[in-house]
Amino acid sequence: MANKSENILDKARAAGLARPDGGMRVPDGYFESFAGRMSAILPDRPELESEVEPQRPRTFWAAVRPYIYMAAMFAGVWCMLQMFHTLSGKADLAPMDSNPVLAQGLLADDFLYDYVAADVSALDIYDDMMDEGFMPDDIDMAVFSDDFTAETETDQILPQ
Amino acid sequence: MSARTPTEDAELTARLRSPSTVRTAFDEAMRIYSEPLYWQIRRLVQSHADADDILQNTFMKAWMSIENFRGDAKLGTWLYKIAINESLTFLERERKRKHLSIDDQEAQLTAHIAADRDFDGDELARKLQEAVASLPEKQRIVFNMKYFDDMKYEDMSEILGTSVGALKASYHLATKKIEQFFEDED
Repeated sequence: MANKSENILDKARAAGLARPDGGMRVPDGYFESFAGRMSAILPDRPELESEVEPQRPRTFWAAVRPYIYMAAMFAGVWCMLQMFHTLSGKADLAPMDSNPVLAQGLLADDFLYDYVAADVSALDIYDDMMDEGFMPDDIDMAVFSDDFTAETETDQILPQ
Repeated sequence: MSARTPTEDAELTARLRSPSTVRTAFDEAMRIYSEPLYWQIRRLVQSHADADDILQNTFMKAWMSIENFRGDAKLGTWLYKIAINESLTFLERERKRKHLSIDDQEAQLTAHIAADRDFDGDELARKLQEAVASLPEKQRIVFNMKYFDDMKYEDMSEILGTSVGALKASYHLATKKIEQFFEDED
């Protein structure tokens, strides 16, 4: 079977058919004119034909450089923020409610009397109480005697 | 592939890579390779008009991407690859356009050969082309390159990206099928 195949192909070869055209034809002068016709329709490529140095292939460093620079920039900004934070001293302050010394001081009775009550006028307290609905009869004015005395001593316009 | 020495190929490649000579070098490449590429295409598509269109597309694509030809491979190998890809794309497009199966298309190619007036008139030549047209595409390409162009398996391997062993097996199968074709005709 193989021999017969080889014989047929050998026979075709012997007949001169084992050549590129294989017995087919082209119009006269086709190959002679093809390159000229083709050259006429090829577009110009000025970018190819100008004497510009061909672009070199990108190296690995050139490819990753923008990302490295961007990462360095963010790291720099972070460091700068950390530095400002440290210099401002805020980094060392703990919140007031978690500071045991402050909490103890605020809860002590002495702090209330020395720094809060002493700073409030008895008249202000009286006004507040009146606003809340207390009547003057309900209030023991003796509590405010010192304050009233002080007021009346300095304010001589009011009749005694 | 055309019988050119490595020195001639290297010189042409160097001119293709130089801006001042690229155009004239490409014209020369067209003069050298148009005929072998044409026959490679023609044996696949059979029609002269189609082969002419595909050959023009081949050189147009080569020219538009000439900067991608780095000279690592031979110029001929690069052009053959483009030509074969263009031919296979054309056949596939025609199948889709005409809603044909691969078998239908092979029958159509065989019928085209039978009716072709651009044939030498030799009955054996016509029968041989019909037998070749009945082969599957890949085997047809391998058979054409080996039998008609007497191309080396190593060169075919570079163009088709297939191992030499696989190409030899493919050629052997193709000869068997051609023999079968002639037997069926008898």
